[in-house]
Amino acid sequence: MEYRKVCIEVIAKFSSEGGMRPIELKWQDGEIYLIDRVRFAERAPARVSAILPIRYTCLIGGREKYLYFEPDKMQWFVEVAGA
Amino acid sequence: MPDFSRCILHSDLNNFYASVEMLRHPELKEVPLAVCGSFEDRHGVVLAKNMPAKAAGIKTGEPFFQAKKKCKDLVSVPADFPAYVRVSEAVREIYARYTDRIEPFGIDECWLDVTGSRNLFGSGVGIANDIREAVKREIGVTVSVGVSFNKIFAKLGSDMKKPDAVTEISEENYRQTAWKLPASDLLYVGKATARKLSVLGIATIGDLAQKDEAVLVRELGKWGKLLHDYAAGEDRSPVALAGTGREVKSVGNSLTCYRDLTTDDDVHLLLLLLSDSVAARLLESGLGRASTVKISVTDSELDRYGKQGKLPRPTRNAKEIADCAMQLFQALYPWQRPVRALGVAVSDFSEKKQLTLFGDAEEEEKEERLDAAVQKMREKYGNRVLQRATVLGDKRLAEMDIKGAHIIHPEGHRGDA
Repeated sequence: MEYRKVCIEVIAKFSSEGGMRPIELKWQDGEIYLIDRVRFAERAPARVSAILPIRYTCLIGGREKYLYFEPDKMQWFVEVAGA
Repeated sequence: MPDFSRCILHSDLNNFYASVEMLRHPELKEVPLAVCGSFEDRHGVVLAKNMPAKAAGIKTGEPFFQAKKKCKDLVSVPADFPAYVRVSEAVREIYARYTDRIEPFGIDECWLDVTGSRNLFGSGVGIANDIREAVKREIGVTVSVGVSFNKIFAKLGSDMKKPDAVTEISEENYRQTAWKLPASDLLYVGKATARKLSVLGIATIGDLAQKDEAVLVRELGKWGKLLHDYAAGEDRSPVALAGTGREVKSVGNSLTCYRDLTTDDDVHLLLLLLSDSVAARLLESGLGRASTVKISVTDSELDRYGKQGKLPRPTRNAKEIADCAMQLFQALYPWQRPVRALGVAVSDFSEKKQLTLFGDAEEEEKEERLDAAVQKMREKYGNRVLQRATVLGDKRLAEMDIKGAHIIHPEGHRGDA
């Protein structure tokens, strides 16, 4: 299975206790998706080009999706199946 | 009698630079890949390779054009040291979950003392496997881990199975495992020492351990006792506590030249350049003056030679370092093959200024003021603004900015300062 890296616009919240979570993301077509819940945030490698990303397992509209954050680029991306 | 009470891990990141680059280029995972440093015409020297490249016979240290001849599909990517340092730190954070006794050895190796950690986390082998899986799961690179009762055997263990494996050299099995390995596998046994050992009838580490210590001391000096201890599993050097920054023990630079060197004059030129750079860094570091110079030579077949010697008096003057380096080179090198790479390192630092019997002090002070002035100019305008007259003779050499591109060398493993 091939994956493509798609960098996305994300609005994130920093809590007063420390820590960052994504609140909503804007897709390429302009549509805004709200992130209902973050299940896990852990360091995990991606299937596309990224070094040391943090993988957020998010619930969006009832479906699970991985959102990745690259700390050194301060950038969020998702993996889209298909070449 | 070895001390079997400790539990030491040696964790070695497999094909490190190449593994990081495969995270950046996942499409190259199955393709032979070489990570290259950049030098002039040669498009670089292979600094690391992945498993497919290794299988194709690519060797670290060989120039890329030569490697490409061995393997037409070989892909080259440039080295990105800041990225490797970040990954190395992330991996060390995983080690830190299990112990605070962590001693890095270069960018991709670490010793861990988990003697006490076993009470919390389980056996040494268990901890090693937990670490191996965590690194793979969280970072996406692999490690080979050796588990043993001392640092030397732990390092032998990590070399035994690659990639992504754990090997234990225990009290019960070390005679069947470590002792069967060739003596040249032992840390600090290079080609020259291995030859001396084989003359004594020593082929394996076991042979070395079982040889009469007096004979070894007679033939190899104090190294004889040290190597005997290492082979017998009696190394007791501690794993340094994380956070106790080990003081810098040596400052050095090495360089692979854009063309192989064939004459003493060529070598002298490069040694001057290297000594300039080392002297500049020594001045910057505030470590004082050095008393020992060590040169390293790599020939065109990638065989390595080293020799060290004392300076007539402690110095941080580039010319004095270069003169000593040249003397060492002439005593060391048999000139059977052209020279591929050279390195100069200084060590044994002291602050004191020493007066010589013949009152060169004024001359030395002048040279020092000159060095300091040159340093100031270089800081302002870049390293290449002032060149030695001899260096300008070889234009390509003059264009290299060595100090800017120095390489990370691991130092001795002995935790005692």
